[in-house]
Amino acid sequence: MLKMTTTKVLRGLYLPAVIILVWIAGSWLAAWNSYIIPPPGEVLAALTKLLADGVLAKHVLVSLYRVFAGFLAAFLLAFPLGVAVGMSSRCNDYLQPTLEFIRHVPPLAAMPMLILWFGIGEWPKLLIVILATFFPIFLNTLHGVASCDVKLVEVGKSFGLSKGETFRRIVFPAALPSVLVGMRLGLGYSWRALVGAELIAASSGIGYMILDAEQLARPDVVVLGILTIGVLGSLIDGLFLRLTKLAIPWKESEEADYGRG
Amino acid sequence: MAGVEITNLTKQYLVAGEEFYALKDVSTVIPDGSFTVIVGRSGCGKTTLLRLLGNLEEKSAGRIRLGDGGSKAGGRRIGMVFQEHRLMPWLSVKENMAFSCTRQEQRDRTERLVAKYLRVLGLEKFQDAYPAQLSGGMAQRVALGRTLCYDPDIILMDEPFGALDYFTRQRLQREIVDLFLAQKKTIVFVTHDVTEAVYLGQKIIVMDAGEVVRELPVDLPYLRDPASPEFLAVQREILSSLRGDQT
Ligand SMILES: Nc1ncnc2c1ncn2[C@@H]1O[C@H](COP(=O)(O)OP(=O)(O)OP(=O)(O)O)[C@@H](O)[C@H]1O
Ligand SMILES: [Mg+2]
Repeated sequence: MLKMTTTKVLRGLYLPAVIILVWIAGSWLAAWNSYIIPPPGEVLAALTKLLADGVLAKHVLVSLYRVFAGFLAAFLLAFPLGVAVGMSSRCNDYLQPTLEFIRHVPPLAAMPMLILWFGIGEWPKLLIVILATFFPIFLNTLHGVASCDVKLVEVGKSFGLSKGETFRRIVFPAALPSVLVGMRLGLGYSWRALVGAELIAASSGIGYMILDAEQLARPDVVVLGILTIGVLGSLIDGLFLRLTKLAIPWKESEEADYGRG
Repeated sequence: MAGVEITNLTKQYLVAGEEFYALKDVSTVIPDGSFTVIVGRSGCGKTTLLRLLGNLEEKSAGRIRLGDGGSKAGGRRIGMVFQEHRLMPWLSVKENMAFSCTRQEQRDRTERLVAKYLRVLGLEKFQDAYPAQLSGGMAQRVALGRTLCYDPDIILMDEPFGALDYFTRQRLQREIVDLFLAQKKTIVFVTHDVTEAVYLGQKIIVMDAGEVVRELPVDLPYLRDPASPEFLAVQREILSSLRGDQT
């Protein structure tokens, strides 16, 4: 079991290793203009410098703060609404077309309007994150609640559970895996949308750092910014996946069961 | 009269715009503390009758009187064991068995019952397993344990062993009889298997096309031998009342 995961992790590292080697070799052989693709040494130097003067940490923290604040706000909106709509088909009838329309509009398309309304302060960025995160959480919560097995609900009825107890003890746990999938998707979307928003209008954040570096002709910092985004995104996702597994331990045994059959 | 009295019970469904009687004027009595078996071919209305008894369905007409249950005051608790185990996938065996416990003050009592039935049903080793890790027979046993821990006065069982293999089924039938002899609860057991009906029932209600076609008491002592002439005679009688009604 342990050995299997190690081999799996190793397999995933081959491609990045090859890319880095090509990057090092190409830069060393001057196969391309170092302004178009800065050599690894320069990027590393930029990293140590920006780490030392705290600039990178500042931008990262600002972006992380925006993601988490927006994510939390979106969750507080999307989860109750998803539950309400999932539990009542009439509610669904009223909201479905409107939500379907909004769902197809990429959050970043709303950026000009948001800037017009709220200026370039924190609000447009938070709202972008909320817009990006709302739908995956809402739709997955709705789906999880609506697809809860009526046969399990009937078990609650046969034991005389109240409506509230039925939700708390049957519908919610049944929907939880789906809700967590929505949250994980939302987290991914929010990160992407935020960096996009910071590239358009911001004075801090990792997206701004990249834009600023472009204007100062510092490709090494641009590359550093891109790498930071990717690494942070993966870390957040990995962390969330860990938490998910802790929250729904029974799913693992189900998978084990499928594997057996 | 102590026991469950069913009078002119009728249930109709609207199927493709037409009235369809799933149950038609069913009248019978389920004596307290008895093992009653409802038997009949698929679609004859067994599940419908049981769901009406368990208050999971609205009746169209007629009456169900649950009786006062002798000394006990107030309503009587009815527990249901479904055809599928219907365990909560997110709860362990132990937690599933304690599922009916909704109030803090019941907790101690439920815990004692769970411990008892884990032992009785031979599930102690699996108490922390999740349903997905259980075999079909074990899952069905947990479902039975869950209902027993609810401590109902009346236990309704809808073909609980229908999906099990011959050996597991036989073992669980024996366990049910043992439980019945030890607990003296009222059991209503639905099956389409005539041998199972004769093996288990003190009173057998034969149904066909939504109606009760025959009721017969079975006086044979437990545990019954399916090869004995008396057993076979009862079995023949049930089969003949079913065939006679066929058109
Ligand atoms: N919700 C429903 N709507 C319409 N018809 C129904 C409904 N539930 C049951 N019926 C009909 O009522 C009849 C009796 O169904 P029931 O489930 O009680 O049969 P059963 O005796 O339990 O059969 P089985 O042994 O196959 O489980 C069937 O013909 C079925 O089609
Ligand atoms: Mg049935």
